[in-house]
Amino acid sequence: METRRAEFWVPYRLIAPAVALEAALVIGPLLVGFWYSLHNVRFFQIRSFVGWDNYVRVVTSPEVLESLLATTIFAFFALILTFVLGFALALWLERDGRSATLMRAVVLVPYMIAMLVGSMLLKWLFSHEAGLSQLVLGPLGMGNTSILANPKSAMAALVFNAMWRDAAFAMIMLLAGLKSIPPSLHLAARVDGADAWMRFRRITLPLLRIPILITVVRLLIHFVNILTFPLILTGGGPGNATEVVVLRMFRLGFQDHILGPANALAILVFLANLLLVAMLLLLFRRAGRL
Amino acid sequence: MAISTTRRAALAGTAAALAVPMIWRRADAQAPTTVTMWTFLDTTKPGGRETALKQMVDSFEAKNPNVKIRVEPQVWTTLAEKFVLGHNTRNAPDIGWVNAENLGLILNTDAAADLKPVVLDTWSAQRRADLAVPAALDAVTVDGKVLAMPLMAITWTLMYRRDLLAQTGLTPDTLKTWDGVLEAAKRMTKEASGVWGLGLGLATERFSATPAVLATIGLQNGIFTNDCKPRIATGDAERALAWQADLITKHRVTPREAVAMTSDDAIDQFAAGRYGMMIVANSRFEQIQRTAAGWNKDDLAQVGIPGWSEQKGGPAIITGWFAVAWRNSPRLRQAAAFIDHMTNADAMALWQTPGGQVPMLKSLAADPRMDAPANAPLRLVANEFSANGFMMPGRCNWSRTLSDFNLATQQVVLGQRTAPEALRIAERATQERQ
Repeated sequence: METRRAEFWVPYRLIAPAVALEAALVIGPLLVGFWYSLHNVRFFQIRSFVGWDNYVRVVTSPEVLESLLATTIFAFFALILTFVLGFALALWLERDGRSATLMRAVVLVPYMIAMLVGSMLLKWLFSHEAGLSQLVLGPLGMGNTSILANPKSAMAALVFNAMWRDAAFAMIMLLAGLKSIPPSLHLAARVDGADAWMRFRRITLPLLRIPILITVVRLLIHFVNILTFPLILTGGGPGNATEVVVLRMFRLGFQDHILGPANALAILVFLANLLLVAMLLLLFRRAGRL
Repeated sequence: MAISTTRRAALAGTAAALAVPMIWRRADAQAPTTVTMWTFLDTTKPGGRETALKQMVDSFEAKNPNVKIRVEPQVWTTLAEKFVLGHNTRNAPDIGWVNAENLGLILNTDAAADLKPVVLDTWSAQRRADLAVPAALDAVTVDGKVLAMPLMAITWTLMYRRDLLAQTGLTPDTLKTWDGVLEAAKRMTKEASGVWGLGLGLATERFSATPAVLATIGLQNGIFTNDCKPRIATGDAERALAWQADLITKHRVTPREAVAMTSDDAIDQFAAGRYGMMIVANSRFEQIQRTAAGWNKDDLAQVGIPGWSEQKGGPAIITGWFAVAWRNSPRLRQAAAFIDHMTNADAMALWQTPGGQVPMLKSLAADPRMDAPANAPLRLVANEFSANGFMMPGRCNWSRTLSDFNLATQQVVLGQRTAPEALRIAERATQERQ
């Protein structure tokens, strides 16, 4: 009887440290953030209870709505281009060989560089006055183009930054999926006369469904919550064109010190993230793996 | 007898037990008190200001052997917020340094101690009258309480290259007005060779004062009402903003890339010889000379901020560093004594030499040594302070108002908004931070 009771508590004891850590580092700050979001906080000090006013203020703020649009544009293009490039690289570098190994290492370099350093490098690359953009664009007749000073090209530069760095992540995830497909399936299909496109469509894609889902949702969550790229590369500009929602949140909280609306926005972004995770679970279920 | 001995032993034991903490406490009283100070200066490193502070600490500790000053260097941009957060968690240092832009954080909270009774009231009338920038004290006085003490003052000046100005055939007097600056910028600009008349950093990260802010202040004598309501969506600000945007769009004397440049980027470009003029904090003068590339560093010169007419110069906004004492400090008396020490005549002389700071006392400014050519940049700023010194109201939070002006300029240059719309947004953003 005693042994049974002791056994009953074993799983709880095992997960207790993780739960305690989660409570201390995630749930605690989340609750504090929610508490702050219900108050007027001026100069880091709580002044009065304002209920849902901060939430109303955030969702009706033109700047926040603009940042939502910027986030949508950035996340959409960054996701598609990063995924496509990552997938192409994974297919290209699937076969083992000396050159493939070398290329894998080369492709991984941007991912190994710290996000901040990578964005700084790109900033200098794209800079018209001091960077290399004139050298690259000059021969194409675009020597006077200032990439970071134009809202559209600045957004394109931001998407490029995401693609340049995170395509390697997509490649690793999808390469792992490709490696798990038994080569015998492809051999059998080849014997049956299936061409490369057929094999890709009928074997590779269906068996990569789960790695693709994981990669897409992971990238989406990453791009929706991105801060370093816009903060360093474009500073949210020009004219707030690349101020994504997390950068807006960062500015409200850490630069403007308007902690009430900043926390309200943080809670809303957190709920949006929960929604994305729910999407992931739903997609998994539909894929019949859970 | 046995009982008596036992009782005596017990009494002796009790007495000893009672005496130990008293002896301990006495020893504790003789141990030096350590006053902690957060500053951006690291006294273990070389540098004029660092050396000056080190000497102040040494002389204070020599005078007060029971007090030790522990200097804890911090990132300068977050000093004020860390101090307030430290106060909220009851863990602030005894003394904190705060820059003028972030005084609002200190003056709108209950973190700072009133230094009037412990510092200012101990000053003689002569010492008070010797202050070169009394406005700095007024700005930190709230309801009769003096919540900070000015340590060093900085302002923005118009820096220019003598060689390029000479080539235009204009004299430095031309740079007294914004129209003159525009004319000089037009003549200096040689787009083909990559030299622009006036450099600007208009990004909303790492920003600094630009002509639009300074010209607005010059026109309407401030950008806040007494109760810290921003006055940015005004006709005067529109005129100033339009003037700044036209530099890029109409006159093409500033590169379009300025909308994506931080002030540091622009200063780098200025030092690299790409601009003829730029508005820069006077504390950067030596740095620009040191990093000048492709031109003679001795060609760097500066004048006060231009005005809209020759009769009235532009504002010399007084920024710089202030010392604040934590109101809950258990060592408030010693902290106040050290703040007093950092602001006395000897310390002010040290801030000037070797610190390289603008003299904060009239007696220092009048010293014949200030007439030495090497001190010319400091002399100019001291003169600007006395002629056109302007201090933002301390309680008004203007830490990112300069950035709001930058965003407004970007929006106008990019055609996203009209000047009145952009300024309304800037005003609202500044208002939300009050």
